[in-house]
Amino acid sequence: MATSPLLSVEHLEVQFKTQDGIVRAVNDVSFHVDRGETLGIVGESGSGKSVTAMSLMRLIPNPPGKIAGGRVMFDGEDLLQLSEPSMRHIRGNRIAMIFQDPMTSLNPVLTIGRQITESLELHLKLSHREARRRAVELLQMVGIPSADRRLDDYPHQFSGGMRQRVMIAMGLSCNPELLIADEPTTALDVTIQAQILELIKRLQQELGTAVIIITHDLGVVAGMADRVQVMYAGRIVEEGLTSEIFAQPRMPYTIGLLRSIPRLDDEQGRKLNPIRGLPPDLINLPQICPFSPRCDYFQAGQCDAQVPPLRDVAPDHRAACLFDITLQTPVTAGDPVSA
Amino acid sequence: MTAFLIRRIAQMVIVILLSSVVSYALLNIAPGGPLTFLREMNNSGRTRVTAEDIARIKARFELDLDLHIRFSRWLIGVPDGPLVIGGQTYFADWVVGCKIPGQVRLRYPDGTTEIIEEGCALPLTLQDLVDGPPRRDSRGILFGDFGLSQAILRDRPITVLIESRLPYTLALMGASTLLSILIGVPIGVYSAVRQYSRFDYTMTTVAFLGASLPTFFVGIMAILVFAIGAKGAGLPYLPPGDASAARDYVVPWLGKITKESPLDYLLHFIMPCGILVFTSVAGWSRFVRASMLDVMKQDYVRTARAKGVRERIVILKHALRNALIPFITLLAGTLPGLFAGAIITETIFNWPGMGRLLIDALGRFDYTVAMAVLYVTIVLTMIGYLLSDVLYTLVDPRIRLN
Ligand SMILES: Nc1ncnc2c1ncn2[C@@H]1O[C@H](COP(=O)(O)OP(=O)(O)OP(=O)(O)O)[C@@H](O)[C@H]1O
Ligand SMILES: [Mg+2]
Repeated sequence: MATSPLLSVEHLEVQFKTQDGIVRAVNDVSFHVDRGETLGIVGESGSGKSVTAMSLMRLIPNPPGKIAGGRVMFDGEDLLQLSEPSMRHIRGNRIAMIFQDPMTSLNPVLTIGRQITESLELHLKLSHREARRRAVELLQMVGIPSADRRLDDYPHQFSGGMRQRVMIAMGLSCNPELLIADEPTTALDVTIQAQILELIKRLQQELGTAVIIITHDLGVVAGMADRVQVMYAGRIVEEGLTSEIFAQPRMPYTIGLLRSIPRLDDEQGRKLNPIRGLPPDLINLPQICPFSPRCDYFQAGQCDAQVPPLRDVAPDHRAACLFDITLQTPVTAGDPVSA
Repeated sequence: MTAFLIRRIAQMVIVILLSSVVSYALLNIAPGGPLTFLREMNNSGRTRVTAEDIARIKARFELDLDLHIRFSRWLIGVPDGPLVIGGQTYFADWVVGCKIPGQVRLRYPDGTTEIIEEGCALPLTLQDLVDGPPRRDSRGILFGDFGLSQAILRDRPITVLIESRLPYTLALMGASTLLSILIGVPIGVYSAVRQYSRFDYTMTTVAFLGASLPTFFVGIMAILVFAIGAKGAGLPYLPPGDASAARDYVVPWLGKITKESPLDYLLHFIMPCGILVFTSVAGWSRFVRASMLDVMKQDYVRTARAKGVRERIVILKHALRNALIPFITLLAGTLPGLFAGAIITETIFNWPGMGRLLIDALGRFDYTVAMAVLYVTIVLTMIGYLLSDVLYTLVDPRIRLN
């Protein structure tokens, strides 16, 4: 068992029924997370990152959402097959989640202490007194000053950064094996962002927790993740070691993402290249490469004929592109609109 | 908190004064009144009413005083005569009204004449308030003196009248409000949790009916079905009106009902209470449903679920507490109703409560009674809102009064 991954997601499909049709938010997504490892998931808004994360916890609102297929193997069990009580025992206990907006993620009418002790009493069966003592320790651990006095404060008495620390304390309270952080720093200002990321990194090393960090900020991934996977239109389009992805991206979308970040050390005059166009509508996804309408390397007759499968392009590196595109490949294809 | 309370109570006094002025003025501007009634009797030729009669009646109703003087006497009990300081009297000649109005005889070209009142033939001074026919001096409603009833219970204190009516209204409004909250809140929560389920649709329809059908229609239909119809069909029936029966009666299956027994009161209670619950449960449940739906979408509810909290606890502890915060304003609105009663329902079911007292008072020109009811309603409304502000601080830690 030591070699099998902590979490492995196989062929996950998630759909939402809406008035306009069925939104295919996650399509045939497979990945794994090893114990103690950090996996970064990047992709632009709407690419299905949050939906993927919520499906792991089985927290997709149903209706309208539905996990239409696949398996989520966690420590040898398929979470999608578990009964609701068994699943509750996993949530917050063995898999914890922290969310994007710390301003709204805490219950405004319950004290911080109550919100932290709740899962301690629930999962670790601690008494009220023990739970409070542990909550103080947790708040100290995430760097909240005079923690014992702040236990009876309400969320509105904390700043955004402090609230995210509270969320992290809450997430780690039961020593979970996996922590899912869905854009934990997007809503915070830059200096606080760095502090929060540093905190997650430090605690992960201390506690040996595996982390899935979801972001659309490539900088966050570069600093945190061992491996990265790039999502586009509900699919994984590239996956590999972080260093490899940054040095040798092989999927035009990833290349575009890397080219679109401004760099201070750029040679003068290089202009930023934002990816043109918009992500596709997830309701009518034709059987073509989902990125092809926006791709600089588009080849008529091939890219619009099939969905490119993920294939090995280097050791520990897979990409969903039919061609061997690299950062150096010159843009040869014409404008796909006129082609 | 103390500073807040002081400021709010000062505001309340101002609002109470202003709304008393407005309601007093409205009641006096409204056409009709005891004099119109007398004049009509006079014109119909049934009785002869002399100028002295009219003067006496006017003095009785204080209609010989100017409106602002009347208002001031009603509100704070002054002026009740000339100012006396150290044996010296002041302002004794101050004209505050008119004992006998001037009369002008109009002669029309066709020979008919008409007498209209214009100007004042005999003014009324402050001294006359002491010398003239005895007047009911009240200490002013602001200081808790409601004065005397003018027509309904002639010359008896209004407090006696209210004491006899209030228990009926308190019972009816208290029970129906409590029941509709106890029924409405769970329905609202359940409709929100099972949004668009069959239960939700059914409740939406029932709520829509309850809220849109006028009370008088539902009330009369209920009387038709449960009182007249059921009685005619030989089934157990409910009495159609009053709070208790005047003599014993027999209801199928239940047997003989002794008048004024608890069962008699209960049977009389069911229909008006049921109608009030039916028409108001909709409002409560809709409100809670909307509020719950809003809260269930919030991030902190997702956080609670992600912690592995049971769905029931998520709903009751994390969501409902937040959803009930706006509910408090609604609760504040029920307080004056507990006193003032439900006018239409009480009228339909002949329920001897405050709502019918107000209607009776208006119908019989008993302005002091009508104003007393209006005034207490105003004060209770203000107290209700003050209470709701204080309640907010108790349930919502984000709100601090200062
Ligand atoms: N409750 C829902 N009903 C309908 N569609 C939904 C729902 N939740 C998500 N979706 C759809 O699923 C798709 C993926 O959404 P998701 O929230 O996973 O994006 P994301 O990658 O997390 O983006 P972001 O960076 O903005 O958080 C979106 O196109 C969205 O429209
Ligand atoms: Mg997201």
